[in-house]
Amino acid sequence: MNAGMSPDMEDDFVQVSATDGAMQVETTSVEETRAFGEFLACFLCVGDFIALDGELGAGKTSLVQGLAAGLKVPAPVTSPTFTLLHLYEGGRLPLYHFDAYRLASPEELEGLGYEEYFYGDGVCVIEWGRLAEAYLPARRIRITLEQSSSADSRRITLAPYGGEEGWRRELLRCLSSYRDAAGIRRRRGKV
Amino acid sequence: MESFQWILGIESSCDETAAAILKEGRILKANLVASQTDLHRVYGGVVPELASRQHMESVNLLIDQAAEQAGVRLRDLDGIAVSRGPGLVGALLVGLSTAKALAYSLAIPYVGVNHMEGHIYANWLTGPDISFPLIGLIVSGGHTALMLLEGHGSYRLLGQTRDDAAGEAYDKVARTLGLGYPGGPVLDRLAREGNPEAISLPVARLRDDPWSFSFSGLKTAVLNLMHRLAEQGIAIDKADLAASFQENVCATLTEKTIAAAAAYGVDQVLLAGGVAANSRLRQMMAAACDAAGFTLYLPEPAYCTDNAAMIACAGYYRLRAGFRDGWDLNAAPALGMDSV
Repeated sequence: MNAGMSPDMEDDFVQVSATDGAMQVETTSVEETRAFGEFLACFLCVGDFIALDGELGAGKTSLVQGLAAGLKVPAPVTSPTFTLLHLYEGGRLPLYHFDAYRLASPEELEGLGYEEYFYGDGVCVIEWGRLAEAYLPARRIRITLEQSSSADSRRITLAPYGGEEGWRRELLRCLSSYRDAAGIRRRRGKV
Repeated sequence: MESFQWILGIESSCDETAAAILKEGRILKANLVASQTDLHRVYGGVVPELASRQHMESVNLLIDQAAEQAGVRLRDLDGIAVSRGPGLVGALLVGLSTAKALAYSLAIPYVGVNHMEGHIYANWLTGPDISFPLIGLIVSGGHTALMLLEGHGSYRLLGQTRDDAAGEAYDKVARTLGLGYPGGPVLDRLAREGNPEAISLPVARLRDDPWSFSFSGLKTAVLNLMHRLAEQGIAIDKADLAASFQENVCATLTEKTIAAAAAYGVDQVLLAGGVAANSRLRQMMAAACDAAGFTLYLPEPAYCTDNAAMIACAGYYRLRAGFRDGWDLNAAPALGMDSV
């Protein structure tokens, strides 16, 4: 990626790769990360599962706050690290928000009755998904957040995984219309 | 008025299963907690089947033990209080179903209690009789909220965290500093050896929303600082960072609490929740209340974390006020603090 370039240059802020079926977005603030989540929410359906990864402070909860805003969830969305699971109703779809960070072992998900939410009637998202890899549904959207050029900017990599090839292609096609919060500094390109 | 001499409290909202027996609303006769880790240690590791059933396995055993310790028979109980939310639905249902079954078989009333309301009542367990109104700061690993407490069962949520709870920020910064997880109490101890003014950290300013909190930005700022210093090969003074972080969080919590008390014309302040055991927060809040001429209520550190005694105490006041719940009461995993 083009770290540290001036804002008026033609940036590769959105990249959709035809080969590995992933897209990348670069956000420059928490607000933009949230805005990307809000955009993504438009294309989510019942049963969609999102596995979120990224270090502490990468913006996982911010992205979920955006998802919730996009789903028109009325309640404030806060981190479920301690409480493990937050349920939000009243939006376009129910939102089930898990966090695997403090699970001593992924088996603890069984104590939470995870099937009801992983395969439920809403959109399910789990922070620190890699800590519960064995339990994740085969069909999922993998999202990774990494710090990029500056302390506030993040590279978001999104990859539909498993499921029908048509579903993966269609999701990426929809998401490729993403414009960042400022509506500038983006261009679609090939990796 | 019914006496409610013996109240059984049941708490199973998250990791721990707990049971307590309270006499006359104030005298704690038994207070037992079975944590998942204890149960698994017996079997030498996490047993998945056990993890899903641990609340169920522990709850009856705990109730029997609590009764034995208190020297009462179950048929002597006058009422039951049980946490009904917020929390994990499966865990909550075990406690709630047990409470209903027991209340039905003993033909005594029971009430569901908001877990957060329970934390508030930790102050009634050991303190003097507390009068209303109060400003309550409920601060734990999962919650950070300012409330106006107007009477038993009458509360108004003024503001809460918009992202991370204060306790969560503590635990995550602690883990990054290599203090383990959850490391809030360890960070608290380390901070006493550091200089709280050594490192300047940002304070979230929330426009038009004076009573809400945000700790996510502070957490990220600490992590960014550590990464930057690591890249530059500069050794970090962990005690200074811990002290600066702790000072920042405690100052924010204290300032907003005192400002809320002043704004609502209330001269009593109450702390509750796991972070209410933090030494610096207690110290800073005490000094600020002293300066403002406010009375401060602090719960015993032993009753700050999740326990059933606080649920029994909250339930005692609810029962006394005439509250009763029916057999159709459901667990409320997303129960807010504005509906206690």
